[in-house]
Parts: sequence; C-alpha cells; structure tokens
Amino acid sequence: MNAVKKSKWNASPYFYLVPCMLVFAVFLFYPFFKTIFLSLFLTDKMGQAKVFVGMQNYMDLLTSESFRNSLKVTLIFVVIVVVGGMLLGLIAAVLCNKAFPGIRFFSTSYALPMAIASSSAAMIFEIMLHPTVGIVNKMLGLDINWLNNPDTALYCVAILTAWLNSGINFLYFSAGLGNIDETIYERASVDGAGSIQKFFSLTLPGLSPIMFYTLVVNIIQAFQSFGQIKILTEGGPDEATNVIVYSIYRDAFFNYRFGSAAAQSVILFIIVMLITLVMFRIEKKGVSY
Amino acid sequence: MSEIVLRNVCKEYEKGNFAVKDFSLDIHDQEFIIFVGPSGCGKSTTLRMIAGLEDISDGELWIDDQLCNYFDPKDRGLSMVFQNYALYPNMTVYGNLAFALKVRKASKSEIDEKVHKVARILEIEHLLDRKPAALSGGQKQRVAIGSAIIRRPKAFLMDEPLSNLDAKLRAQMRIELAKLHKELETTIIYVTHDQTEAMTLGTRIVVMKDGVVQQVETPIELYNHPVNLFVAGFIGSPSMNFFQAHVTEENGRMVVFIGNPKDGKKIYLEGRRSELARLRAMDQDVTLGIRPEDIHEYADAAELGIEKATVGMNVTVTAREMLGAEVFLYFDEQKKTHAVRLHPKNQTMTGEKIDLYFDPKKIHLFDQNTEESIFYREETV
Amino acid sequence: MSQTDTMAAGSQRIISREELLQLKKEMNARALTRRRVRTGTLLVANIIMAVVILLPLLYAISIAFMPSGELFTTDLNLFPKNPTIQNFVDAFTNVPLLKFILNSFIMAGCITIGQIITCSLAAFAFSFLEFKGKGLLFMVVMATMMVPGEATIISNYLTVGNLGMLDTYPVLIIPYLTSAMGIFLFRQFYMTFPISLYESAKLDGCGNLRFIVKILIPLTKSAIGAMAVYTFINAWNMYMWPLLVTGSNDMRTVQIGISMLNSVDSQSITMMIAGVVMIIIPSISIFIVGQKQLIRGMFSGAVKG
Repeated sequence: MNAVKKSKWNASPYFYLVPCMLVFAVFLFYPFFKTIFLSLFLTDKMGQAKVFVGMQNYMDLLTSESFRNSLKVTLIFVVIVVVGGMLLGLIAAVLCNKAFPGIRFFSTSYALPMAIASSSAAMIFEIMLHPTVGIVNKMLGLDINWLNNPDTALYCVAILTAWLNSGINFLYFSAGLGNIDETIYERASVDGAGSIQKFFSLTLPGLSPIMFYTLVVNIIQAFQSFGQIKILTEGGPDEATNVIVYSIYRDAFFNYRFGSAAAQSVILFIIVMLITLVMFRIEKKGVSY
Repeated sequence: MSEIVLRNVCKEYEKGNFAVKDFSLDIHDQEFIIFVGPSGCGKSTTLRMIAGLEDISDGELWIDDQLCNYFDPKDRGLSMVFQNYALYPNMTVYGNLAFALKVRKASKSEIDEKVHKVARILEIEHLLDRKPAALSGGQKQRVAIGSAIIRRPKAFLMDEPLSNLDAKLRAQMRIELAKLHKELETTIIYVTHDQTEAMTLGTRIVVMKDGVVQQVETPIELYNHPVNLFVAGFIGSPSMNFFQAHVTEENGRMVVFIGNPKDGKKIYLEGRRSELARLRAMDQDVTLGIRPEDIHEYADAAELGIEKATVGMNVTVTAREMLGAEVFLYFDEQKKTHAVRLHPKNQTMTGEKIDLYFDPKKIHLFDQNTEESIFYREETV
Repeated sequence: MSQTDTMAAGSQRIISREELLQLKKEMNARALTRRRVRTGTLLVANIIMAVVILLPLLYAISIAFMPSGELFTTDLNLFPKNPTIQNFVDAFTNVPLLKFILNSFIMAGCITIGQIITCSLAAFAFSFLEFKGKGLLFMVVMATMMVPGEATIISNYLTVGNLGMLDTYPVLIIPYLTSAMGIFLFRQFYMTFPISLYESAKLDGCGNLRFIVKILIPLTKSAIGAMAVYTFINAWNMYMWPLLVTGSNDMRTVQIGISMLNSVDSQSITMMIAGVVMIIIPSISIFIVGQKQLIRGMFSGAVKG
C-alpha cells in the first residue's frame, strides 16, 4: 500500500508535463533533428531521404551566388526592421509617457499594429504602393513601381515589417518607462538637468534591460518574416527580397529540394542562436543593475 | 545669505479643495526649519512647491527677494533629498554625486575634487565605484545627502529623508544631520512626521494639520506653549494627557475642577494664569492638558511646593513601564488611559493606588469650541 | 521675532503692491503660455505619430468604402466621395469569407484554450512540484524559444503529409497546442505565490488538479487573460503554416483565404481591401477589449523578473 502510494507520488509531477512535452516532442524536437538529418541527404519529391551526401548541401549553398545574396538581403532586412521597429516603438512610448488629454486613444493606436496580420498588412501596403492608384506615389507626386524595383522593394517590405513590429515594441518600452522611478526625474530637475539630458542620462539607461530583451525578440522575429514577402514580392524582383525564410519555402515547396531547404533551415537556426548567445554575453557585461 | 519667504501660499487641486492653505513663513539664513504633521497635512506638498516640483496655486514664494513662483526647479538654486533617495540606478555613487555638477558643466578636475571631498565628509569614499543597488539603506542615504550638498545651494530641502531607515540608523543619522547643518552653514527645510526628529533637529518647527499651519515656534516653546489642542497632543511622547475640566471661582480664587466638580479634584490657578482663566473661561467647560512629567507623587509635589495648590488625585495603576532612568505609570480616568512619568525609585505596582498631584504652573487649558489654548502667548508677555 | 519681521517686510517693500500684482500677472501669463505650448507640442507630436502609425489602416478603411471606379483617378482621393458597402458585399460573394472566418475562429479558439491548459499544467509542475530532472526539463523548454519556426516547418509538413492529416482542423491546431513563452509567463506568476499556499491546500486535502482549478486559475486571471489575447491574435494572424497545410476552401483560414482576393485585376482592389478590413476587425476588437488585461498580465510579473 505504502509503496504504491509512493510510486504514484513520484510519477505524478511528470503527468502535468505530458501534454506540453508531447507537443514539443512531435512538432519541435523530432522535426528539429529530422531537419538536421534531411540536410545531409538528397531527397525525392515526397521529401524522403534518398542519397546521403554529407555536407554537400551546405557546400553547395555556401558557394551559391543566390544563397549568398539571400544572406545579404536577410541581413539588410533584419537591420532595417529591428532599428525601424524599435525606433518607432520608442518614439511612441516616449510621446505617450506623460499624461495628457487623449493619451488612451494614442496608446491604443501605437500598440494597434501588433493586432494586424502580416498578410493583411501586406495587402494594404500593396495598394498604398501601387504605381498608379497608390497613395504613396500620389502624395509624393512620384511614379515609382516600388515593389517591382530591385532598389526599393526590400526597403518597402522592411518598413512594412518594422511597422508591424512597432506595436509590441511600444508596449515593451511603455512598460520599461513605467518601471523607471518617477522621483529620479524630480531629483534631476532640482539638480539642474534639462529634458534632453534627462532623456540620455536617465531614460535610455533606465530602459536598457527591456531594450535588450526587445532587441533579442525583434531580431528573432525579423529573421522569421514570411507572409509579407510571399504576398508582396515573392522574393523578387530579381531575388532582391529573397530572404532566407522565403528561400527555404521556395526550395522546399516549389523546387522540392527538401535537403537544401533543410540545410538552409539549419543555417538559419545557427545564425539566430549565435546572435542570441552573443547578445546575452554582451548583456552580462553591459547592463549591470 | 539666503532668505526664503512664503506669503499665503496655497495648493488647490480642484476648486475649493486645498492641500495647503495660506502658508506664510519667513525662513532666515541658516535656519533648520522642520515641517511636521500627520500624513496628508500638506507638509510635503509645501516642500515640493518650494522646490518647484508642484505648481503654486496662489500666493508668493520669494527666494532672496526674487519672486520664484514660476521658476524652473533648476533655476531656484535649491537642492533636495528625497524620501526614497532617488539615486540614479544606472550610475555609480561617483556618477550620482557628480551629476548635478556635470549638468552645470563644471570642469572635470573640479568635479573630481568635490566628489572626493563630499565622499570624505560622509565616509563613503570606498563606495564610489558601486552602483546604488549594491548599497545598504544607510549608505544610499549618505549618497543622497552627498549629492545634495555637493553644490552650494541656497537651501537644502529634505523630504522625510530618514523614514526608510531602521531606528538605530535613524538616531545616528539624526546626529550627523545636526552636525552637517552646523558645518554647512546653510538653510535646511526638512519634512518629517516624526516629532523626535522635529524636536532634536529644528531651530524652528512648523506644525501643520489639514493644510493649515498651526504653530511656528522653536522646539522648546512649542513643547511648553502649544497654541492649541492639536499641537499639544502631537508634540511630546508619550503625548499630553487630556481631561474634561471646568473653570470656576471658589472663595475668590480661580480653580479648575477635573471631571465632576463634586469629586473635588481641583487645581488652584495663580497670578497671570488665574486672570487669563477668569477672562476667557469663566464658568466654562475646558479641556485640561498636562504632560506626563508634570504630574508628581506626594513627596515631589511637596518639594516643588505645589501640594497645597492641587488636590491629589487618587488613581489605580493599570500598567507600569520601568525604563531604567524613569518609570511610566498608566491609569484610567474619564474612560481614557493617561501616563505619568516618575523617578524610578517609585515602587507603585500595577493594581496599587497612588495619589497624583498636577503642577498648576504646567497645566494647559483649551477652549472646548475653538480648541485654542487659554494661556497661549499672553502668559509670557 | 519682531526684528526679523521688519527685515522680511523690508525686503519686499522694494516694490509696491501694484508692481507686485503686475509682476505676478505677467509671470502667471508666461507660465500659462509655456505650459500650453508644452502640452500643445506634445499633443501635436502625438497626432503626427498617430497619423503615421494609423495611416495604413485609415487608408484601408477609406478604400474599402470607395466605389472601384473612384480609385482610378490621378488626383489625391483620400476619402470616398460616394461611400458604398458594395465592396463588402462583393467580398462575401466572391469567396466563402464567412467559412474562412469560422475556420480561423475554430483554429485560434482551440489553440488559445489548449495553450492555456497545457501551459498552466506544466507551469504548475515547474513551480510547485519537486521531481528529478526539473531544472533540465525547464531549460529544454526555454531553449525551444530559440528554435525559429522555419527550422522545423519542413519536417513538420512532411510528417503531417505522411500521416495524411493535410487539410484538416487538427493539423492546424495540434502543433500549436503549447508554447514555451506561455509556460514561462505562468511560471513567473506562480512563483510569486508562496509555496505554503500549495502546502496548506495539500494539508486541507486538496488534490493537485483541484488546486489548479480552484486556486491557481482564479488567482492568475490576469495572466490568463493576457495569454488568451496574445495567443488568439497570433493564431488568428498565422500565415505560413496554414498556407502549407490547407488546400481547400473548407479548411482555409482567413489570412490564406483573403489572399485569394489578391488578384492582379485592378478592378477588384477595393473589394480585396474590403475583405482585409473585415478580417482585421476581429483581431483588432479583441486587442482593444483585452488591451488592458494584456498589458497588466504581460508586464506586471513577466518582464520585470
């Protein structure tokens, strides 16, 4: 009796983990290792591993002009998205920090983009950037085919993504600003600091812990942007917006080169992981309070 | 030389809702002014209005003959210590001390010299590289004070600076603050709800209640001559004992009966006090106040020569607190507990009876309608 | 006392009463202007920012009500001259929009409920129970946050393809039935409760499941609310996975279905935007209703810790 009770007691904690672990196992751990496995093979159209080629998929990728372009495009894309999205969020949060009439309306507006799907947003931007009827050309008095021009397409997609991400960034920064002790601003006024000095010596450092968290989240998210690219440019024109995620999608589901796509997934994972680790290393040194 | 003058300063949050009303005060150079009162009495608000952190709704604030109502905090030439210290969390102690000088564009060498000087005075030199999060409460307190004194302001404003410290540290910092005031030779305006701090630190004390100044006096005057019932009860610990009493004339002498006159507990008034009582409270019910140390047992009363002027009150001791240098006895009268402070040689135990004599020169009488002291001012003039 | 009185009075006697009043009036006026300018600047800056942020949405709404002929002019036509709801009607008749919306609701609803259940169970074990490998398991869960979804999506697609699950509700829902972030968020909340809360419940004879349902869940309403809003919106907006695994109109979610309206035929632009506006409405409404809850739940415990 006692023994039974005891063994039941021991097993019960794991019981609560079963649902989540099952999902993780089937849809995260297993596919993760399977992706690594696939990346070492040539596959058939059904995604079955056929010929073991070792690192060949990786070698092919790293020597391919197209993949190197993908890396470059992804990098530019991520930088614009992260800087733009964080800047928008930060400006909005600072503007909305002090109470004034209408603050509720404004803060809701600033957070709103987080509720909008990338596909819906992409379709709206498509019309805004439309060469003949789009509001952008009309307002600027220009005649540019934004999304079909290799020089502008990437920036358009990146700005759209930055806009989409600015909503949650606004919430993060608002929370961060709320955590800064109000009296240090009062002390700074008595000490003689102006508002610009207060911003740079109190607000920005005060935001640094949340800034760091936001930065990591933004980078990871930027790497994964897909819907807007699929709808707006499909990687084009001339591969100008062919970010890694889109390249993976194209290789796997149009060219049925699952092995190569898997190898790209692994490279993407490694890049994201390295950036995250480096960021955490920097954080340990930099943000210390 | 700096002088801060407040003329009818008001803080009105909504129409007719005053946090501070008609606050008038002349603060002279090098004074240590204390604003004291229960929480919500407007003392902090007044301080923040002087600092420029709150708008002044009405009235005038003069600093050195300049009307400062609308000056920015930074242009008022004051420095402030906050209750929660308000240290900049991202800066080291050095950075915190240096901040006010840095924003005023002082030279690096000047900053360095002053920071080290202040750190030496406050004995925090070894902490200069630490961040505030790594400091104890007392150390944070020193840094906060250091950042205030590193400049030469016209006055220091301190908003309950010691309230977050434990009792022992508080007592220690109190002494250091008094020392610092002497060394700095600068005006200090200090807000507290702790009357011990008020009594020990202040050159003058402003007692506030519900946004209205009750009395402005030196600590000893405030203690001995409270203007009304509130001040009398607020200053002193244990606080003053209050009794229902009645003033009347008996055989040509003014006399105060405690409780029902039939009980015969009475105190005779002499001289000026007797005249004032006749003038202002003849045949009226009053509140009698007396501090615990002004109630005596028979032997002491006889020594003071007051045993004839007062009829002993025979009470039962309900509690006894022996503190070594003194002993407190507690007794119930008129459904309230009262305290007596006696010499520790007194051996009356809980449950025993004792005769108590009130010192007629030390009793206070308060009008029951206005709650104002009947003896206030006139007596000393 | 009397001496100092005259001193103070003396300093003020330099200017007369009228001059003083005049001075106060001037300063008052100046302070008032300054404050108005400050508030005004802030307000104007906010209005500009809000217009920038909301521009795409406002533009979409305007176009959705515009007759398609009106769009094709060369002048700046910000507002529809003859507002119409024809675009919405067309959107509903051209694609089974209602079916898409229903699909999305089913998918997002199931994912939300499922995540709340699995995450609170796991978080309960991680914060109140003691067992072997607890630390390691928690690390593993946290590490999954670093794996980008795209790194697994191919294999997942192949898996469900082989299982013949493509184009069904379960394939849309099951892979998203748990989330590391949700576990983390709930655990952060549970950690704020003392372990004695659990122990005393245990002593009162309260079982683990009962403890979760009767005590933990009511105590963590704000976290659950935040989690629900966040998960629902994200599920509603999901794009890549539904794109891969759904093929028929019966299973398509709104985000995929709406792109069917996205044709090069410029005449249908207004109809397409009307459709987009329709499907944005549910997620925005949920966001606006749950915004307070979301902020309180996400940021009170989670990010600070």
